[in-house]
Amino acid sequence: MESRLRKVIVCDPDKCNGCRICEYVCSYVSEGVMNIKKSRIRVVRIEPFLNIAVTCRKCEDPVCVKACPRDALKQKPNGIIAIDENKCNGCGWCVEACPFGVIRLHLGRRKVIVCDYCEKYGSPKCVEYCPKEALKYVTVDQAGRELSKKAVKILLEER
Amino acid sequence: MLLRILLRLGEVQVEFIGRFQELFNSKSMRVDVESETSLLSLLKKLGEKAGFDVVSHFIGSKGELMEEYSLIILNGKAVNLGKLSEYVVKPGDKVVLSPSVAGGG
Amino acid sequence: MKGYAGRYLTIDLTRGKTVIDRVDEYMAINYIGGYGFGARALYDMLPNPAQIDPLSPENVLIWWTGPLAGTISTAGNKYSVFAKSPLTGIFGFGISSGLFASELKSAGWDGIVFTGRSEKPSYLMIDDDNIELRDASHLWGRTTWETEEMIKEELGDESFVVASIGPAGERMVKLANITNERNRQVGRCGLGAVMGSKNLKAVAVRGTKDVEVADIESLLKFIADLNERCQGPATEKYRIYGTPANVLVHNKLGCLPSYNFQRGTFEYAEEVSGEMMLKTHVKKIIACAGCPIACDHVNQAREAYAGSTSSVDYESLALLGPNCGIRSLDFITKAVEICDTLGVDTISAGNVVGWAMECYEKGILSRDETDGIDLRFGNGEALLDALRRLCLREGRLGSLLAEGVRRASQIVGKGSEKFAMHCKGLEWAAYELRSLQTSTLGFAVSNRGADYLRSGSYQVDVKGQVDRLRLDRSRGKIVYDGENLYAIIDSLIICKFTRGIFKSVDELAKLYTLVTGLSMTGEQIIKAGERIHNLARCFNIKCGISRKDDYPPPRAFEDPLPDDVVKGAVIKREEYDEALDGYYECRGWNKDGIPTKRKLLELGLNKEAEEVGVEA
Repeated sequence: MESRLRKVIVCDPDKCNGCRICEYVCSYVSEGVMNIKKSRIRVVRIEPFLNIAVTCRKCEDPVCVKACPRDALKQKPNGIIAIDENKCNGCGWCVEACPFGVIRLHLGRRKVIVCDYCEKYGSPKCVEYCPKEALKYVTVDQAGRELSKKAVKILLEER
Repeated sequence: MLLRILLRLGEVQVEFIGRFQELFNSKSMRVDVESETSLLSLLKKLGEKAGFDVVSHFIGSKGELMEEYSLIILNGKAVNLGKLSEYVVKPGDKVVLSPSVAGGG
Repeated sequence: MKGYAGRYLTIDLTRGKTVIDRVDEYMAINYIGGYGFGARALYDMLPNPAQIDPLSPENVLIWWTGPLAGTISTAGNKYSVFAKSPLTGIFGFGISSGLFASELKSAGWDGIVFTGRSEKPSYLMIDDDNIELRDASHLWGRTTWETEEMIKEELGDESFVVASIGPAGERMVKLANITNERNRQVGRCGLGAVMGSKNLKAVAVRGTKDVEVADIESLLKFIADLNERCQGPATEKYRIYGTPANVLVHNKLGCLPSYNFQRGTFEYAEEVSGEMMLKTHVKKIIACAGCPIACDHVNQAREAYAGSTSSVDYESLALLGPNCGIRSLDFITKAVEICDTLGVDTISAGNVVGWAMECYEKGILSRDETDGIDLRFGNGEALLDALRRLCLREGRLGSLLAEGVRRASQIVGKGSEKFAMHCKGLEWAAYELRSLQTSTLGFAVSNRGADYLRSGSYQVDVKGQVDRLRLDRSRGKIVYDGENLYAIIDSLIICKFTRGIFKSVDELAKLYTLVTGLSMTGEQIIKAGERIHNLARCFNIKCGISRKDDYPPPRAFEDPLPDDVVKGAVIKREEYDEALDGYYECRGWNKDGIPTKRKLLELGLNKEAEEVGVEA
């Protein structure tokens, strides 16, 4: 799949209020438990005003894959990062390499975890459960277009 | 007629709070009423003037009372939404449309 | 049973010893969590509460979550704190939210009980099973916000969630609160002072464990439905303007307290309304963990004290604003910031400063006694100055106000007791007494003193379901029903802002069962609510509470409201007595407000029937 057609999870920081419902849902979808520390999407709150949820961006030529010394990470054609748990030994090079800090070590096992976009459901559950529609599952192009619209609206309304 | 304009006779003063300010794009409005009318008719009349279903903010589509959503104050008294057609509104009355009270975390 | 961690910690601060106890199924089914667990623990741990000085090592400080904390349950991440209150001398209780409860549950604990007193300033670190009482000498004197930052830095992980007291708690100011995550407070009853008296500066928690849920698939479906309802009309008022939406409504209804409850309207209400605030001061709306509503409106001051930041809700706004005659959102934002960082309850603080302003204007407090502050209504600088002094117990004024309005008015005398707006020593919240009379009955009979959160009985008043300017016997039942329901909401613990989205009490029971796996019907859970309420009352009876304490302050009976819209409104004593009788009758208590043996036995409170219950 062409990378520009890849859909990613984007978060609107104006709408995100840091409720962490995405984290609770993700922990269930990913591991069948309630434990936000096991979520693949992470809410970042910087006091007093900034809130945003971040997860894997399905980068082109992803640095996490490149950084792995054991060849445990592969990017699938749909952009999702697949982790071969037999090869991963939790060294954490990929964690350091990811510019968004969204590939992380699992709490219990010494393996890394990353968002798989709820492959088994077809679309990400965090987006479905986000109460404020801050999370969207769109292509980067679409996200850009939305932002342009928003910016233009603000500009013209302020005039 | 002149007297009527001077004294604003025949009019009910309706004030808006919160969401209703935005919906009506105004903080208040005067509505002509001939003589006595029910609060329900007044709301319908307001709806015709403003171009949206005002009653639906108080009574849901299944007839349920939207008490957690909206409230009406008629001459300083809180209105029981279950009896909208029983309240009588007459010229000179003051009506307030407001979101309901938000209490208790 | 799922949902619960199944265990709690007891920490003897005097000896530095820790004991782990189990939470069993009997406790779960009969007392649910939160309020229920707190009432049970306080009653059992302080068998002779009348003899306990709340600020002595003999008092206990108890923290409980409920079964829902740590799960995706709608607005269900809350914790509660209990002690004998230094402000009221009775059942002391407060609830806060944010992420703290979820984190504590993830660390594997339902609750924490503190006994004794630490020799030097300390804070408790809970890192899953690793429990450590750490030195807090370097944190003493720091604000709550600084304390959070410093502890996270010191422990090397931002994901620690911290609940702390400010300088007010350290100085045992009777209005002191406990703050977590900057904007969330265990506000009422002065529990921060109890923490201070134990030399306990903070609790920092990090948890990594799974929280087990009985039927996770069904829970997720149910929560998806509830969360969807939370975007509907019943919660719109919280989402858009936040609770300050009340300012204009209350003003129109003549129930917005102003000038220390001398009036029920405020001539500058527009300037401090939720509508105005959203336009000019709200910089961000944030949510507590797991909450689909998001009501927390974080303000930033624009001109005066530009840059000051605080989360402003209706109660804080009304009491620090109109009740002190203040018409500036900048000053209100700054006032809340002072209270939050130095660590006092905004409701009680706004109430007691309002009282002092009335004293000053009536010549009861001289300028000498206000430490030279020109404590007129409407003087913003004077408000801020008074608040700082209160928080730090500074000067004559600070040490007076730090005692709370009941004690302060007893010290000052000269008739100032007549307009000390409290019940059982807890300052009245921002609901006018004379123009919301069912509400007033609810406030006055509440287990923790003047309290809008124990029954929500103002609702029938503002919904026009009763004549709010008078009382009758039937109001007792309304308060009784509200109290039993709210006892459950506070035990589960969920946010009261969700009450409009549950179709019935059966849905509350369903939520409980999906999480815990313990079967529960709506009828059973409401019965538990009644049990919990009676248990807390029994504790209060042991503290000396009876009918005489279930009355609003004199102003309710003696000073008719002057405002046009509710002109002349006042509570008639005989009507109030009648309503109170009606309430006791529903409760199954005698005329003096003491639970009967029969009622207590019916609720399974056998020990209490023996110790407190009366024959009839």
